[in-house]
Amino acid sequence: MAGSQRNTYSVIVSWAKIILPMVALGLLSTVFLFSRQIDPEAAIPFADIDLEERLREQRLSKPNYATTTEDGSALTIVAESAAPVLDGDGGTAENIVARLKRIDGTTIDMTSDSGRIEGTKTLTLSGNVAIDTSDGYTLRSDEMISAMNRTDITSPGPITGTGPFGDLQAGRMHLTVPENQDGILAVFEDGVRLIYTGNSKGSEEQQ
Amino acid sequence: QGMQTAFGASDQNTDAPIEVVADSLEVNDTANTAVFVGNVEIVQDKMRMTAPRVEVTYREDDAATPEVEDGIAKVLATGGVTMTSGEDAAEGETAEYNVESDYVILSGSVLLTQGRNVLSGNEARINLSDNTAQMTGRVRTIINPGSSQ
Repeated sequence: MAGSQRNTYSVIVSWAKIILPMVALGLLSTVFLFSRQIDPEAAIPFADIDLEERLREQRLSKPNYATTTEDGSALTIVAESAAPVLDGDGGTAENIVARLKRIDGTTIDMTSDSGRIEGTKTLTLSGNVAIDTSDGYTLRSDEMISAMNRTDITSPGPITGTGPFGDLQAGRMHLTVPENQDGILAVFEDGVRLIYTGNSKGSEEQQ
Repeated sequence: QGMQTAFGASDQNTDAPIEVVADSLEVNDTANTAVFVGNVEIVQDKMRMTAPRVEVTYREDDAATPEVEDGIAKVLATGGVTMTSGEDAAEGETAEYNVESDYVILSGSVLLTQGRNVLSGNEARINLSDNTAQMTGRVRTIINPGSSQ
């Protein structure tokens, strides 16, 4: 190989051995030197309108409320947001999920679009209210008024439901737990229509 | 003395859904009953029963047996019951419909009419599945001659 004519290939390689590591070093340093500026001001994701609304209405987000009723059941209420009522004590709330856990273990779950708590006595749920009890009743109505110190739920308007008794439609409902009983007593009025399909003949059919 | 007669529509389906319409209903969870009050009307396939007060008792789900016993055990209608099945009709003070055994027991001045034949007595035991009625207690029957049988 002609020694005098330096081989351009090896010249390139020797220069590359110097330039490439330098470039790599440069790239590496940019990772730390040009980091994003963290702007503490922009960290809060609330829009201004939200802040004003919160201040004006003292709105709470994700409030939850727990109490025990006279007959010893535990009532817990969770909502999406809640705000105090301006003209009295109590508050309104959105997307309510309430659970009444009774001492004999049965639970009554109530959900609704919105609700209103007056003092600590009554909770009024409105907007497709759904009640599901652990012993098989499911009730749907537009508005339900539930006492908060004892198990007493009233639906002034039309109500539909299913349960051990079959599928039911009624004009009004009043569900309570009488003193001398531990089971639920539900009284439906203003016209009742019940369709019962499941009268399976004897238990052998269920095997 | 008793009297056996046919009663009710032959193809009465005793497993058909039962529909109950009333003014008010009281469901008592502990006693496992549902009491309908106020011109109650019960319809099951071809059988129709009307009465001022009807008490439905549900089967007690006894925890001992593995499968769940749910379902109606007994329907007790009181205060003057009229019952029609097909073109036959029956009246009585009270009627007890035992769903499992498909029997309706009418008692208290019972009146059975089929077309133009009339039967009266103290108690009638109507079997819905094989459409027979067993009348007992001072049975009097009026068969109109020339009735098309």
